[in-house]
Amino acid sequence: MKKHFFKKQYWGLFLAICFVVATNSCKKDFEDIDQVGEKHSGQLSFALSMSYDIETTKIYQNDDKSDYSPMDIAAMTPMRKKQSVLMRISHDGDVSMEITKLRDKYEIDIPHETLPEQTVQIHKTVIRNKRASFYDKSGNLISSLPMEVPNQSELVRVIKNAAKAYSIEEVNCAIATMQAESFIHELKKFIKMAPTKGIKIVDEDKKYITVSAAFPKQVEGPRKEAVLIINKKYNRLAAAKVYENNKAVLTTYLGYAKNKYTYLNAIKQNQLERLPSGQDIVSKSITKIENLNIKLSV
Amino acid sequence: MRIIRNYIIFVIAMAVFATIQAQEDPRNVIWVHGLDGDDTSWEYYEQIFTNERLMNGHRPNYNTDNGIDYGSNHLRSLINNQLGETAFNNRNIGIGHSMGGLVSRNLDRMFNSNNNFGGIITVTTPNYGAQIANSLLDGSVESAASHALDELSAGPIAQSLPAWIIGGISFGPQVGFTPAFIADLVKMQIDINGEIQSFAGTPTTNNELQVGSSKINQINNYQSELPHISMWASEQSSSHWRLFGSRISESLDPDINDQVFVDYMNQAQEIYEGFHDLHHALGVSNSLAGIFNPLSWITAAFHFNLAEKWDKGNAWIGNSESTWNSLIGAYEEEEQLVFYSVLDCQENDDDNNYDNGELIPDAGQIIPDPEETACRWKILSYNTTVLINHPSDGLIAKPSQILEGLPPGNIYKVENTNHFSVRNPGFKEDEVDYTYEEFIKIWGREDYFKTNRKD
Repeated sequence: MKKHFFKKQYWGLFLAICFVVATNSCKKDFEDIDQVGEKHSGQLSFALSMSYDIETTKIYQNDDKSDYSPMDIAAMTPMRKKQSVLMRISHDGDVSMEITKLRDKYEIDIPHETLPEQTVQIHKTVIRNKRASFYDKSGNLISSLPMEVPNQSELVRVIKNAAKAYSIEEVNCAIATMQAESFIHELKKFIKMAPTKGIKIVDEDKKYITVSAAFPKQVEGPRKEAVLIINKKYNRLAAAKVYENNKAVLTTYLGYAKNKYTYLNAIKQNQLERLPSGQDIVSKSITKIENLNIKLSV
Repeated sequence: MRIIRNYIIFVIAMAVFATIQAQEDPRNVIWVHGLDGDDTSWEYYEQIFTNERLMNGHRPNYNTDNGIDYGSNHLRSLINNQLGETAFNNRNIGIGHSMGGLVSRNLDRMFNSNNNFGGIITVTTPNYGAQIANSLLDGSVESAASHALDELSAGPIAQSLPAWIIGGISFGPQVGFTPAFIADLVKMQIDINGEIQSFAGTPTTNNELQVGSSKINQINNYQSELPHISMWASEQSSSHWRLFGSRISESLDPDINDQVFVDYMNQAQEIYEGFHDLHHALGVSNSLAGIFNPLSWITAAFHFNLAEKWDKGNAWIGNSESTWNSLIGAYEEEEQLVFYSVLDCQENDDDNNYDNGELIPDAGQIIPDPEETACRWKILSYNTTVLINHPSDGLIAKPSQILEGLPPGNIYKVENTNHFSVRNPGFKEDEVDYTYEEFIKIWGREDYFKTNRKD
């Protein structure tokens, strides 16, 4: 009997040691943006925080591939991805991002017959302090590279100006509901001053107004123009088209669903692409947005 | 009678002794390089096995510029000079890498009655032609290279727009902003394109190496009486990056190897995807900010455009292995079922009466307003054609590497190895020397190819 008792004690101690070792050895290499972003008590160190899950499928409009070379068919491989995105913009416009790959039930799994890749796959990308860091599924750092992202101080300025002109409750309500009727005069002001700023009113009816604005010309590059379709009733962007040398290269539609509140839940994009053979084709990207969460600290 | 019997026994014993003795004499092994090689190409394995086995290794440096017949003739004259009176010994083995295998087989065809070889081992040889030669000649490689540069540079070029101001709001990225990593990647792609062009050789040789060339047909129509072995290599995904990594290791930078290059390209793809996701998120956030200042909607359009430019490079890297396989002929077209989510928008609020038409409208129509309809997500599917990647050594598809009609025991597979690393494991990160392991099996056979150790 004594023998068994000591054996049990030994196993219990062994398992306890294993547990302690295992939890310590699972220590993650990366510093969560949540921990970094909320260091200061009483005030968040970011001006804007936005998180959402997206599921994007990219397909090609012409399903009859018989006219295309194998190289073109390779370029038209359909794509589907699901990921979780967290973006934070600090008060001075610095951008941090965390992108985590999620498992998708409807993943496109092409049955290649080559030996599978044995490289460790990147599961999470953290962009912060002018670096992109790549982590595997266990949270171990794989590598890190310089990656400088454009400063967004202008975006922060727009939001802070809104907070100065209106109450924080109005601003938060507008963001939470994607309803901006209380800001409708901003749209009216925009329509009035548009011609003086080089923005053309292309069309207007009861529901929508369409405007166009030219992007600055690059030394070597096509002439670019944006055409916006704005929903006047709800003061929100319904669609945006980009033209290069008068040819529509990208059309973006924003879809808003309604539950208790209205929220952005869909983005559809038609993009003009050039295949290796030189032929043009239109790809369709359909993005489903879930769990959209926006926080402001102005 | 007894004298005759003893004499016969003596003769038989001498014959047996001579056979055993012959097997103990070193045999000549002629290591024949390929199109891109020279007398150093096989140096690594030639030296290992010359030290280890009963063999005399030779590495003639023959001319590959003037076609296969010229190559075979030149190879023969080098063998005759180097081997002297053993040049026609029927124990001589020819081991040909890539085009070297074709040159060796062609030598057999041209001089079969007075052969330099008694047996031939082809290693990653394009026995039925190299599709890459066809792709180089018909301009497909050039189209693919040009397309690659366009796709990889789309994001960085778009991002280097100067900032500008409309209505008191300045937007657009910083001037001249291009990550150094991406600039290096684009430069590397240019280097790779140069290396790919070097795969071609001269027009004379490249023409003969094509799938369907008359020279290839002539070599394959010849019925050789020699024993043959085919060694074929199967590289793991991403086979094209591993091939280029090994090539760069050999010709440009020994600090690069197959795995280093794969890691580099995986990270590059993540950078492209990161910029796409960043600009996509900025498009969404500026769509939001437009509620307070509609000028931000112009910024939103700008960021959505940038996101798609970066996605070009991301998608190109993701599809690059299939693109490459289409150039080397290691693929098959198949139908694939693809699922995608769409918004199903009812015309009324009755949950039981769905409108099952196409739900996100085509270009020109806006997504229905949720105040007027109730939209729900639905999964649809459709069939499309995709390319399935097939085994290769990164340059030559499997079927061409293996001589038809060989018994299965004469076919050796070198795993996790590409067209260049098969002749030097230093171009790979893997510590296992798969080529050595297969050669050991060949030397241990109980037939013509058996070659004993020295000790």
